[in-house]
Amino acid sequence: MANTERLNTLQFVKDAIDAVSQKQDSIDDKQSGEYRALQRAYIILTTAEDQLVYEDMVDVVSKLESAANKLNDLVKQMNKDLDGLKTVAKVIDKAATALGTLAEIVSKAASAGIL
Amino acid sequence: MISSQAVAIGFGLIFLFGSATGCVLTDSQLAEVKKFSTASQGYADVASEPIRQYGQLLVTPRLYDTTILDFNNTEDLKVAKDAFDAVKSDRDKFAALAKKLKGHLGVLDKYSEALTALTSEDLSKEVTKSAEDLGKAIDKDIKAVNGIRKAQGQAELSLIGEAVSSAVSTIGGWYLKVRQTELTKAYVDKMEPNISLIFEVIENEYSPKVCGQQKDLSKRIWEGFKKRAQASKIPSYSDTRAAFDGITAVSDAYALCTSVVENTIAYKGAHTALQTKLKDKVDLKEAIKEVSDFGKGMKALKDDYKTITAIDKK
Repeated sequence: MANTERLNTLQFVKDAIDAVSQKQDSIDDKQSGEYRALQRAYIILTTAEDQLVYEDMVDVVSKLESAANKLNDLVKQMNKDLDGLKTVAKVIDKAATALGTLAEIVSKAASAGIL
Repeated sequence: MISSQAVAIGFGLIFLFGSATGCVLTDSQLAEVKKFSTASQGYADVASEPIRQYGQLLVTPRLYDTTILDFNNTEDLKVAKDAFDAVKSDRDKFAALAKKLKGHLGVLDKYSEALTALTSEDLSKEVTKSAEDLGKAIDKDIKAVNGIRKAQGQAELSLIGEAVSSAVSTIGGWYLKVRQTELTKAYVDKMEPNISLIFEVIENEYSPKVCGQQKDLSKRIWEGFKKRAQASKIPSYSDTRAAFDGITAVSDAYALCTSVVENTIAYKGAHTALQTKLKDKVDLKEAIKEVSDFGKGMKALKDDYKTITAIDKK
C-alpha cells in the first residue's frame, strides 16, 4: 500500500474506532447483543489499526536501511584504513624478529668457528 | 661513533616528520572526537526500542477488549480467540522489526567505534613497544658481532639499540598521528551527508509514525478499561492497576521516543560542529557546545532506556 493511501486508511480506521466507541457509550445495556456486536467490530478495527501502524513502521525501517547501507560502505573502508595503520607496528615487529634471528645465526656461527 | 651517527640520523628524520605536524589534531580536538564517539555509542539500541515498545504496549488494550465479550456466544468466542492469538504474533512482529532496525542503525555504533580507534593512543603505544623490541634486537646483533671482534682483538662496537628505538618510536608515532588526523578528518567529512540522510528519516518519518502512534495507545487502554469497568459496574483493583500501569508505560515510552528524536537532532548538530572544528589545527579553548549537549542528552536517554527495559524484564 502506498504511503498516502495507508495514511488515509489509518485515519479512516481511527475514525471508525471512535465512532464505534461513541455508539457503545450510548447503549445502556452493556451485555446486549448490539453492544457486543459493536465490540467485535471494535476488536477487528483495532487489530487492523495495529497492522497499519506496523506497515508504517516497516516503511520507516526500509528507508533507514537504504540510508544505513550507504554508511556501511564508508565504515568498511574506514576499518580497512585502520588495519593499514596497525601494520606500522607490525612492520617494526617483523624487523625486530628478523634482527633477533640474525643475532642467533651470528652467535652460532661464531661458536662453530665459521666467523 | 656509530651511536652518535644513529642519533643524528634519528633526529634528522624526526625533524623531517615534525614538519608534517602542522596538520596533526590537537589534544583538545582529539578529546572532542572521543567525547562525540562515546556519546553516540548505543544509539542503535535506544532508537530501535520505541518500535519494540509499541508491540509490548498494545497487549493491555487488546486483551481488555476481549474481556467484555460473551464467551458462551460462538461468534464472540471466535473473535476473542482470534484476537488473543493475534496479540502475541503482533507483539513479536514489532519486536522483530525493532531488531531489524537495530541492525541497520548499528552502522552508527560501528562508526563511533572506528572513530574511537582512529583517535586512540593505542596505535602509538604498539609502535613504541615494537620500536623497543627492535632496539633490543639490534643490540643483540651488535653483542653477537662484538663477541667475534673481541676474539679477533678488535675494538667493540657501541650499542645503538636505545637510540634507534627512540628514533623509530618517534618517527612511527608522528607518522601515525599525521595519518590518524588525515583519516579522521576525511571520514568525518564523508560521513556528514550520509548521517544527515538517516537523521532526516528519523525527524520526518520516524517521529510521526513511531512516536505519534505510540501516544494513541493511551486512549485505547483507557477505552478498554472503561468498557470493562462499565460491564462489571465496579472495576477491580487489578484492572485499575493494569490500566494505570499501561497508561504510565505508554507515557514513559512516548517520552523515550521523543527523546530519541531530540537526541538525533543533537547528534546531527554535534557531528556538523565536530566537522567544522576539525578543519584546522586549533587548540580549542573550550568544549564544543553541541558535542557536550549531545553527550548530556544521550546519557539521560540511555538511563531512561535502561529503566524502561529493566521494568520490562521484571
